[in-house]
Amino acid sequence: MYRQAAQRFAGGCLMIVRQKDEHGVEFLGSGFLCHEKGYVLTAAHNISLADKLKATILPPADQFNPVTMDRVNVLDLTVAQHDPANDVALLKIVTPPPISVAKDSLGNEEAVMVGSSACYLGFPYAQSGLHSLKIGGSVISAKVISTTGCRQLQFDANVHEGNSGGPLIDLNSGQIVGIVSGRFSPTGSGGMVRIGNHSLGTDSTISYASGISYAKALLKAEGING
Amino acid sequence: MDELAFDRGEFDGLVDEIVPAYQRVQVKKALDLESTTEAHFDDIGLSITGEKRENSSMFYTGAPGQVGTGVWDYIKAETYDLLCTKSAKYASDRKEGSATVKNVITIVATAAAAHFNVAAGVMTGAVTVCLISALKIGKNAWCQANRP
Repeated sequence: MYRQAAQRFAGGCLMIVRQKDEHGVEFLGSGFLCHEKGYVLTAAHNISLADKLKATILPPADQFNPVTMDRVNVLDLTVAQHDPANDVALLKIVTPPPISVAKDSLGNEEAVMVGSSACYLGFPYAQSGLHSLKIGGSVISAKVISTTGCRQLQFDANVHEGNSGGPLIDLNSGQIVGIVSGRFSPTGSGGMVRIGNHSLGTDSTISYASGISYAKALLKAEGING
Repeated sequence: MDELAFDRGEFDGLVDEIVPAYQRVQVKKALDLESTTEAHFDDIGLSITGEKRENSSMFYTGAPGQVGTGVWDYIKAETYDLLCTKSAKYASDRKEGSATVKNVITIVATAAAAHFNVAAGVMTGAVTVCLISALKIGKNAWCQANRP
């Protein structure tokens, strides 16, 4: 089932980057295609509305690729809808190439059952040069409501910096049920010690994804049924 | 622009008409605020633009970096320019009879969206909060407080 999920969704996963200067881009987080018109979903906290956003085009996941890519081809993105309260953003490729997206790919976080097998996709540590898509196995461990009132799926994984914005997939239905947002931090969201870009004291195997219905609401605001 | 005044009923209708559904809860918080302290409206505006995050036990796992800034400030600066000055930029928008709450929101949201290259709807909620704050505080007092 992991293999089926990977085959279905790996090709639609993208690195979200911003234009840093004339020659370079800076990695922000993960994202994934959700509509053939060139719409991309990601976590709202990955981006700033002031950023010049782009998505990278990646080689197929089923071939051996360099760990670090010196050059990447990018597509310009614009922000179509933005919901920071629920940590979801809908981006649009300005000039989309021909795109194929899995049908009925967006599920329902209300319907997924606690204890279900799941997997999540994303680009952990891409900011440190790890440019390979990671597919991780997990279990939906709880359904929670965040302090901002967001319905989140708690899943058993230690997601890393860069994972945010990737899809959380219910293996039973084969549908995306959440968008990775973060992990529980025993020391809270601030005040931790950092070594380089790594925050100490924030690790746990308790991770969270915003319910996919918030993404569907953004698609609906765009006039599209997800 | 002197004819603009805060009218709760007018804003309620406008929020349902022009603000994206997922932003309405936060915009209505600004309508419900009894305080006329600008910082409280700033908190709501910054939340809508994603420039302020609530402290929680969750560690966000985007790539490490600073939370972006400048969007809410830009919205306030454009609103100030339109409401409080006689700048050439918005001269045609200040014509008599065109100064409605809906027009002001549309004009500023369009300007901010063009500046940041995002869809106008992304800006509508934050611009509405900015105008609510200006009219609740009182246009003259708000203009005085936001003079550069």
